[in-house]
Amino acid sequence: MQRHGRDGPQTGAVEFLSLYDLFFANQELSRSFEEGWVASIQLPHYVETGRTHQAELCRKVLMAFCQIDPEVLNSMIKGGDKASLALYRGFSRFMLEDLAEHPGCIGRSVSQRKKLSTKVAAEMIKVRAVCCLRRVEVCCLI
Amino acid sequence: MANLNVGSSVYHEIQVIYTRSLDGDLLAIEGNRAPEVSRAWFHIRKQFEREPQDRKKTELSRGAGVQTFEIDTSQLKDSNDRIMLPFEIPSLQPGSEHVVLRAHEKHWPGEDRIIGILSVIPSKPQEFIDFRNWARLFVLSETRFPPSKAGGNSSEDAAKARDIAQHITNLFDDSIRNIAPEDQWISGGGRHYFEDRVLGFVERKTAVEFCLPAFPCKSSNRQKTSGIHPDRAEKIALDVLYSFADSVAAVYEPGAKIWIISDGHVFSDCSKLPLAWLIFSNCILTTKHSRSLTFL
Repeated sequence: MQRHGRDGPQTGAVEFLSLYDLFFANQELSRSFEEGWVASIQLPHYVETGRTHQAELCRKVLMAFCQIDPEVLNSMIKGGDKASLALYRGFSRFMLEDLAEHPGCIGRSVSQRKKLSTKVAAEMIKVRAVCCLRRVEVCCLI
Repeated sequence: MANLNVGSSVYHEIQVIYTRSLDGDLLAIEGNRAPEVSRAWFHIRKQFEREPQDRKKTELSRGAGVQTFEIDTSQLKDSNDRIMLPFEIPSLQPGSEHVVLRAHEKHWPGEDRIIGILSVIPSKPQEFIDFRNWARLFVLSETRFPPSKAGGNSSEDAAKARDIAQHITNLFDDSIRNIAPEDQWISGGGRHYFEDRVLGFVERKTAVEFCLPAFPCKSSNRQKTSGIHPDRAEKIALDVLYSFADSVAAVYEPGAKIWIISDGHVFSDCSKLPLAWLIFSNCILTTKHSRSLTFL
């Protein structure tokens, strides 16, 4: 193919954006936002860790913006949907490894650690990962 | 294939995002229902010309204004007198709730176009209604949706643009596309959809923008990582992305822009990674992703 472009490394071609950047970079919109609107949204936390107000707020806004029906994933897994099962099992295995050194897991039986991992995996998929993808989809036009 | 994307959030309510002229001409449209709304636009635009009693206007700063009104879907009928836009909110419960089709539009003073969204909203009162109104305003305010195509509209220009879009799609497919079992890149029309999105940027002669949810945080398992700092694994990942951007720029002058949507805030409380580590890690990544630095 004929080259119509430019040569050399493209500095600045890759940039990071956080949830806070996406939601609150616009100062006018930030000023009009009231945290109380999403205060009642409950986020389950199965793992003890440090959490900040800003991070919790971003998660609640994400949920309010794009949350899927929480029962959908459960019904798909129980129904044997291959893609959902593969995703769920993959996340569960990943979290079993990731939480191996967590104080809440040390000293626990394998089955207890697996149970915790599956809970975290389900939360990550049905609430967070899908929300994030939906948010990115909206972001594609932004 | 079963659909995981079911819900009643603001996102799920939005059917299309569009821009139109002040006279009502449809200039650009995106969304799941874009083809149907496009076909019904001749009837929809008539409703912009009337003054519906439920039209509400809100003045914003710098002279911008937002208006919201209901679209009377009973007026949207084809030549066979069938409703062109049947709507329902997908739900696990049997039956459908009564819904309305509502337009939210924003106009900036001096601009010759209006940006709008069409949302399917239940008739009954909703929870988080204040947030929902803010979220719709957020979408209207933050969307960059240029309607016009830069340059000529000749068939030669169109063919050239399509050629470039195909080439960029090939570059993506050959280098950084993640291939999953039973993926639908070909069988599900994924490639075609991707190429059309790339074409949208090429027709407008702007950098092709990619969004990648990634780089949440380092694993807290010391058996998997060398420490809390970005290491060579992150360097290699960023190099791959830069390399892809270079390859696009070599065939398309405006090049590519890759936005990494760092999703650490989404997951850090699930992995026992203190947020401080996430912020620290991201700061290092942000400052060190200059290609001239060497990682250990």
